[in-house]
Amino acid sequence: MTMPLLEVAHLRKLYPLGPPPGLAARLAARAGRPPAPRPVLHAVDDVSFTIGAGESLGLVGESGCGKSTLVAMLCRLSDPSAGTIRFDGRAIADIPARRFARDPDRARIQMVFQDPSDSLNPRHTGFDAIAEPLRRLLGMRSGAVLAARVAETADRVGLPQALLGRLPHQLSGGQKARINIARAIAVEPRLLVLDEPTAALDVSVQAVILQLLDRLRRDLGLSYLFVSHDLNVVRLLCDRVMVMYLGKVMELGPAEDVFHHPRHPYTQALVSAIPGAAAGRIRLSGEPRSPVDPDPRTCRFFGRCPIGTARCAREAPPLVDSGGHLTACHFPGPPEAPASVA
Amino acid sequence: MTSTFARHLVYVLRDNPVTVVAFGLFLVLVVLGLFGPLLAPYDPLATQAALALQPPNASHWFGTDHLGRDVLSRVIVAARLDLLISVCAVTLSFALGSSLGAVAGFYGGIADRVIGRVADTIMAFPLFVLAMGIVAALGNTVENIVYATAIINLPFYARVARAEVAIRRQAGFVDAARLAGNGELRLLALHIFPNTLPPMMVQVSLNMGWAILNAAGLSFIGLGVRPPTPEWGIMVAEGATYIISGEWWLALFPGAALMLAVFCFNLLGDGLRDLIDPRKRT
Repeated sequence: MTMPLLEVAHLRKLYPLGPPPGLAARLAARAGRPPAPRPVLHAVDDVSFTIGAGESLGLVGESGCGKSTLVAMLCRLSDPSAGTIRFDGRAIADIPARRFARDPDRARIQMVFQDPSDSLNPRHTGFDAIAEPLRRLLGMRSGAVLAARVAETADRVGLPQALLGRLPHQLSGGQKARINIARAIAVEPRLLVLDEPTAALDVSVQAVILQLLDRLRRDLGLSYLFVSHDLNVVRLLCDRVMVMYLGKVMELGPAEDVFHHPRHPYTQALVSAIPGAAAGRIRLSGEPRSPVDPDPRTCRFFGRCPIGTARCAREAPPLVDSGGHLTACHFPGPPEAPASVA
Repeated sequence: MTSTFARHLVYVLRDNPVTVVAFGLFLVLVVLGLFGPLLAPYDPLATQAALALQPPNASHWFGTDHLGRDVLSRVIVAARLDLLISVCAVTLSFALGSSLGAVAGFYGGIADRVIGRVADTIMAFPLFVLAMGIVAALGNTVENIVYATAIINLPFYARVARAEVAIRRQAGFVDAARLAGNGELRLLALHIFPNTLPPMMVQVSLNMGWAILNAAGLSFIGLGVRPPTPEWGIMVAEGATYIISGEWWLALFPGAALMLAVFCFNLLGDGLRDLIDPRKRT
């Protein structure tokens, strides 16, 4: 098997909570009395996965499960607390996010943000937005070459050239989404991270943008990491799916396999919630566990899990591979589960 | 580009008639400031003892002062000095205050705390008294009035800039600019700061009126500009002693000029913001 494009291993992002130790606490620590440890929020906890060249990986999970934190680390907008990221064989997790702007790999990992309005500078025209990464990352200075490249990219995403001179507030949501996509693909990245690229759009526009994204991936041979709430979208666009819950990977496997034969009870509940699902809806009760100082011996899903037992509280289930379909559960559902999707 | 700006200007002016008045007044002030000495009917410094304290008449529209100098000419010529002082002071405090505030808002942490406390310290003084103290300590010159006015206005710019930068620091377009290969300093200077300009312009304009008042106030109490020089504050101070004896025109006309200038800058703020805000463009 060839080397994957992106290889993430044991990635962690921890946020210490509360005020940093004051002067008194630091003096006490020096005197040999260590202060009480600060509570730590585990936003992303020991996440490992790979994305192959040209592959599309879907990432699903509820709000607050660490999707956005994970994505920010992969795009090198924030620094991981621990773990490694290998991009095309090169370790990039140790390069500080501050310095990554001038890194040669900056152009090869690009991202499309969730809110197309918020992610465009209100003072920059569509042309400026698409031209800036070309200028900064590819060193295109010449006006004519730059203009040609911007026009070509606009064509690729189906943005009329007449709109390039407009400011963001003069454009519709779909047009802004196209500019955001154009800006990201203009520098010909290898990996495109899409953070719920259609969540802020009308349903009719969503479909068009999703078709565009699917076509671009095949035309340009891009790898996608596709973050979404919409399971149907992930199923249509992605080769594999990763399900996260409270900072941990619960299930990871081929898209069709995960949707038709979900093994983890959390995934089963998610799949059953898709409108039109054949099986009866599994309703989860209770609140998620706290992500602050979680007990490493307890399964993160314990408490909401419909099949959780005393063992799940004593012993956190590891992510176990079974024929390319990974599940972190002591009692994975049968591969021939009845939860088939219409 | 010029034509779009012109069209935008017309649009902003039509949208708000008050702005038209403010821009008109501003234009008058600028013309007086640039060409004042050419427009003045008399030499503002020429004394004519025979014509002292004449009320407004056909040859001296604003009357004459106790030395027989033409008040109209003095009011017109004074515009340059007063505008110069306030423009320089506002430019200085805008440049310094907004960069400090932007750094505080963007980087936070220790920079934010130090800059914030310095601004608080300045604001803890009665500002006019602080300005008096600065001019008294540094010496009685026009430059020192500019510095004093700039220093007392600094905290306002620092605060507005800090707040406006801090709310945009987490905006999506900032992360997008990071992905486009911008370092932190470029992000702040080229992406975040320009977006804070519309609210800053309101501050600049309000401050301009304030700076004029401040400079005139300093001259009024005898600090800064020295007597023979025509300046609105001195003229009001000199004229004030004559109000009791009925020579009202000495203080009224420079006072009115001062008031109109402050009024104009206060109204100008909203218009300037609309002009510089891309979202107002259609």
